[in-house]
Amino acid sequence: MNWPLIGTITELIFSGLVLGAIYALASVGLSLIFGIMRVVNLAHGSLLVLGAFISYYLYINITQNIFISTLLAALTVFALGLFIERLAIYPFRASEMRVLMITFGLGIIIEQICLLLGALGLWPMYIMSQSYIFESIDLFGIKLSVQRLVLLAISGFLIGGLWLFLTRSKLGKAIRTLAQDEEVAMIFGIAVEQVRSITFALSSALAVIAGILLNSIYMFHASVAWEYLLIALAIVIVGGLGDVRGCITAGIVLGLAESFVSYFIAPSWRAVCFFVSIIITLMFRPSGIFRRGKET
Amino acid sequence: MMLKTKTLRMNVQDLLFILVPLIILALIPIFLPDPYIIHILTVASVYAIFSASWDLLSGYTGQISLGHAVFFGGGAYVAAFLTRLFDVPPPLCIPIAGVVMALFSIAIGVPSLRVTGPYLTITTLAFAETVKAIIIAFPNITRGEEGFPVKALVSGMIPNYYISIFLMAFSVVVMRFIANTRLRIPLTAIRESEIAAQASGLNTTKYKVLSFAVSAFFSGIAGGFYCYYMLMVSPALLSADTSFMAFAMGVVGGMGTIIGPVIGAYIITILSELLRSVIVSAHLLIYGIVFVAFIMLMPEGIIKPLSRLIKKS
Repeated sequence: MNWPLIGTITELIFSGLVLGAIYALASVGLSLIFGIMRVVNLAHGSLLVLGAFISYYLYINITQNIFISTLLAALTVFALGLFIERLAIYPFRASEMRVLMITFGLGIIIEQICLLLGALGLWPMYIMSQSYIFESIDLFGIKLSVQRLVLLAISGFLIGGLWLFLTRSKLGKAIRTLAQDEEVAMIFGIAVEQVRSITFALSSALAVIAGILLNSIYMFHASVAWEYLLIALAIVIVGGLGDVRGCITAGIVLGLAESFVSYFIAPSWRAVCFFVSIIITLMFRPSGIFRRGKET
Repeated sequence: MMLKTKTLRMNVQDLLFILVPLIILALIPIFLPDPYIIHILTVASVYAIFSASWDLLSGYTGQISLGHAVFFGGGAYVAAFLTRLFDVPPPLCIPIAGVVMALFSIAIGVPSLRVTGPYLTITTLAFAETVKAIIIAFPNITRGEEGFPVKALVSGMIPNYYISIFLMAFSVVVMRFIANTRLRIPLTAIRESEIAAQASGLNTTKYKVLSFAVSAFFSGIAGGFYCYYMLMVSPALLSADTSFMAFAMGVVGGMGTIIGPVIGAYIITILSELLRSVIVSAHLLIYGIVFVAFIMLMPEGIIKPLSRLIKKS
């Protein structure tokens, strides 16, 4: 029996699951936004990174509690999301490509603001991966870090919460109705404009939380925004644009794929792995790997 | 018949549009022999080629590519490798870089151009990030993030400047010719409604791949020249930021005109150099703000009011 290999594989599966759950959390918002507004938000990655930086700043300078700083960062970006949606997306919603370009420009602006504030000394240019809990559990010779278990629990909890919110609450049901048919939603008296803004802001806030969770695994620099945008886009495309359930599955599958590719080939190959998944999906199943039925 | 006279008249206007600024550009080293100004204008000319080539694909067909840096940076790497490993003379490397990028674009264009709209945008963006990741993944060949030095094409600022102007003029005239004669009708048809174009029997994929290849060729040329001018290549040439520059210049100048992005390239390069003393570490911030403002307020770019002004006078 090759015990070390099995141990390694178990560890890889575990870290892949953690990554996958966080990725699912990061991309579920992107999918929701597309489902409701038909907008591919290319500023998503930048918002994710900005949130991680804000949280780091708050953590170091104001509160020494990571949960409070996460919450405050998420709220800040939630407000920013409302602002962006009202000012930059809503007035131009008639033209899909124009909105796409605006969000790309906003992504660049946010990335550059992150860099600028770093250069001005508000926060460092790089934030190292943050460790808050150092213990690890030994399970039959396999080491599982408690921090990663916590990450898995938090993202699982949030995804579950989002799912309940979407299926049970009034606002969640309104969001889903709007995603299916805007006119019908209007007939039912759903305040379409408000729901759009809130969805955008909510997705941004979820991205921020995912960003902070990711920052406890990977080092962050303002320019990683595009890498995480790519990852989120890959997950959303593989899962099917606008499909929340597909997105969660795809997140976990791609998280596992990344974990194995990084270990057996090299960490820098992860972008390749995501790109290949985008191309394969678009070539063979443009509406998403897991979706049955007609194309959207 | 109507169409013919119209294109003829547009050619005369084109000629004026191209010749007058060219003469001014050619005279600048004589009247203003300041190395800093020459340097800025050389860089602007390279970006003009890059942005115009982006426009040939995105402005004419409406297929927004956000990964065009892959051809620019790719061309730079091809040229740099050819000189470093095989000692091919630089003047030969620049066209080779263009051809390699054109072939490369066909290889990726056939699968990725089947998708349209936001899907294509995502694919191109992802593709550029991936090629960048691959370059970083082989540090013993490509020296990873740092890149490696390249020897110069010619020494001296002024010769480089004239070469860049020549390349720019040549590329713009050729692209403008291709876009306005051969490809004008199919590409416009694709932009307005791809489904309608397909329904009337147009092989849209063929034309899209064709414009993709021409576009990649000129981006490759721009990148090839750029690496000899900057004396080095690095993966930053392939980043989303570089793609964004072509994009921003195209939007500011006016998409779908070829000339517009050229004007945009000069405006934005000069603007950002002027502001470089104010903001050093975030020069793209200015691009970003200008770009978003233009899309929101003036999506047709600067060329429309400009050409109206010229017509009036």
